[in-house]
Amino acid sequence: MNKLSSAMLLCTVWLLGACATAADSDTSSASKQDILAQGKEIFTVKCEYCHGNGMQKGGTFRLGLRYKGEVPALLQERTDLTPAYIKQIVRNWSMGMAAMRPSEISDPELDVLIAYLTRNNNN
Amino acid sequence: MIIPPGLTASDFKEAINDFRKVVGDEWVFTSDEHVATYRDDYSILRGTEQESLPSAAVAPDSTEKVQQVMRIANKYQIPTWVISSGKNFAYGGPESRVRGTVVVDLKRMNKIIEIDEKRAYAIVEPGVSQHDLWLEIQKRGLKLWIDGPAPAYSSIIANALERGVGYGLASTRVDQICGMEVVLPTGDVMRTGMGAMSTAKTSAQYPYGLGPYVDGMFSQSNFGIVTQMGVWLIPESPVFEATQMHSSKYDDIVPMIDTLYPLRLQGVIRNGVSLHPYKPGIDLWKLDLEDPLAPFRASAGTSKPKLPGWGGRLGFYGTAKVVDALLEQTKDEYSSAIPGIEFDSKRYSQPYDPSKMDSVAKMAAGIPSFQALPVWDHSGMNVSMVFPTEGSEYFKLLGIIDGVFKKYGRRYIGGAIHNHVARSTIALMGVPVSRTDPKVNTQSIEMASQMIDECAKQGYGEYRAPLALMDHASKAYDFNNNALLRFNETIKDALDPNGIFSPGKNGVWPKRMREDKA
Repeated sequence: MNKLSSAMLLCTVWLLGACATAADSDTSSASKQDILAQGKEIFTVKCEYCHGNGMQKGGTFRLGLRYKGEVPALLQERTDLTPAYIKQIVRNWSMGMAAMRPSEISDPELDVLIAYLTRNNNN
Repeated sequence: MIIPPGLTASDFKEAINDFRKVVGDEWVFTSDEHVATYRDDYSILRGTEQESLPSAAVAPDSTEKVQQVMRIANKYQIPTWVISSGKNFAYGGPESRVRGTVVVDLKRMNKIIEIDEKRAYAIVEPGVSQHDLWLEIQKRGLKLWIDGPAPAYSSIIANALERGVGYGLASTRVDQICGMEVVLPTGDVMRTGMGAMSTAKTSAQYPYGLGPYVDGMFSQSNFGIVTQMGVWLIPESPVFEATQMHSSKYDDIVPMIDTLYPLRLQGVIRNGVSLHPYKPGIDLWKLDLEDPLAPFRASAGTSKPKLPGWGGRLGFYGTAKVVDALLEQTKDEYSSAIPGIEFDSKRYSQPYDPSKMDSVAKMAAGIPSFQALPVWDHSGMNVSMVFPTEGSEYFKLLGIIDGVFKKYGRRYIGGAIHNHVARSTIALMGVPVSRTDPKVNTQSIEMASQMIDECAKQGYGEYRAPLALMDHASKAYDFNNNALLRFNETIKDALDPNGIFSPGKNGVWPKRMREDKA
């Protein structure tokens, strides 16, 4: 992930936005897949150690306790997370998770992560 | 917008522009949203006038850029505070001592420069976390261990420099340091140990070099920024056994410590041992409760708290025969000292599969995790005292702490104890921190100050001070009118003539700020 330039991320996030209006375009569709792949990679590197699968993962465990099955404990399976909420949680202390600084996850990276975590919201 | 002390708004704007020229616009953080992420999420000073809110943060990604950042700080006389991951929770996290500080954030310096399996060392930058290094070792399939519990996202370098402790085979992390690259407050750069030779072949194998051995000066200090460091790793043990012992009586802590001491000193038990209050079915270190400390926390107004038993985590390493022998000796000695003591033990052998290890095994094998997270999430601010490894000494210490707690209508019955240097042991004693009630925090600071004073009278000092009490804790080291502190101030003034680097860290203030405080 470190190799990804911020400019490239910004560009791909912009393209993802464009996908909504050009869903049939192969290029946009490919770009959307790229962004989601990048988002997944960001999740793996920066979030998975706490929010991965299994109750030994602190974040997954705590969300399981908190929501008691109302929503999935695994963030990747959620369909109700909004971009503003994800941003709020990532940049502020919440439920025992320390704020992540822009040096840990840059704004462009956060946008790509948000695209990944909200990918199934309307399905 | 907060401005560093002594600067005008236009000076600060100019300085920010200079920082931007060095690290790039996107790596100088000045927006409220970004700067707020540099507050300590668990600060006991949160929301008070004493909370040292930063003015900005700068995130260089190379030693050369760190040098330039320090030169700019000197030019404008801006106080800086360096963080690596900023996860020093319960001791201050990323928080500084001076309002308006510019944080120098090293998270982007995240290169694993070298891992040498045969020689069992790594050379890393400060942004490399325990998890990063462990993951890279797994990826390369190397038969090496680190000693990585505590929050997995803490920095390898910073945790060793802050003298953090582990629970596996490299539990004295500061002793695993071998060779540093250091940017001095003036912006100069040097390498220590053998690395001081530009042609060195053994910079991460022989720590001392020639002449004064200075590495310790950069530990818990504000004498320089460590931008690269050698760290010794552990050859994977062919077999290990992870053992949880537990005993039901409160007083058993005395023989538990006294039996541990010779076993640790002789090397029968080689891991960093953690002892802790124990109740059947409740594991202090396990993520099985929202608040794992609750059963052990005597609440306000409790005159007779329910007393728990004690547990301990042990690791045994070597070939199967060696592990058998070490385990047998340990069980024999403990069983004769504490009749009825129980052992839950599980053996693992190469090739290891971390997904099949329980939490005791992960700690023994040094696999980074967040197991300790719920503990520090609820234990607030740590007061951490060093005592001789003797059961009676721990009871004395408990009496002192309980005495302070009683004054505030609370009781103290014990907390985690870490033996990672055989001859002495560290007791972690958390005081409550509230994010909503400042009165709790004011009272906790009072309590912690009294704990430090009362302990000092009996010869116990802190191994690591929380930010809010750094001055207080360092004053307790009072031999010959605080000669050690005065020595450190002399060095500070020589290395940092403008007094711009991490002022006030562990009570060491630069000259210009000592004068302000006088």
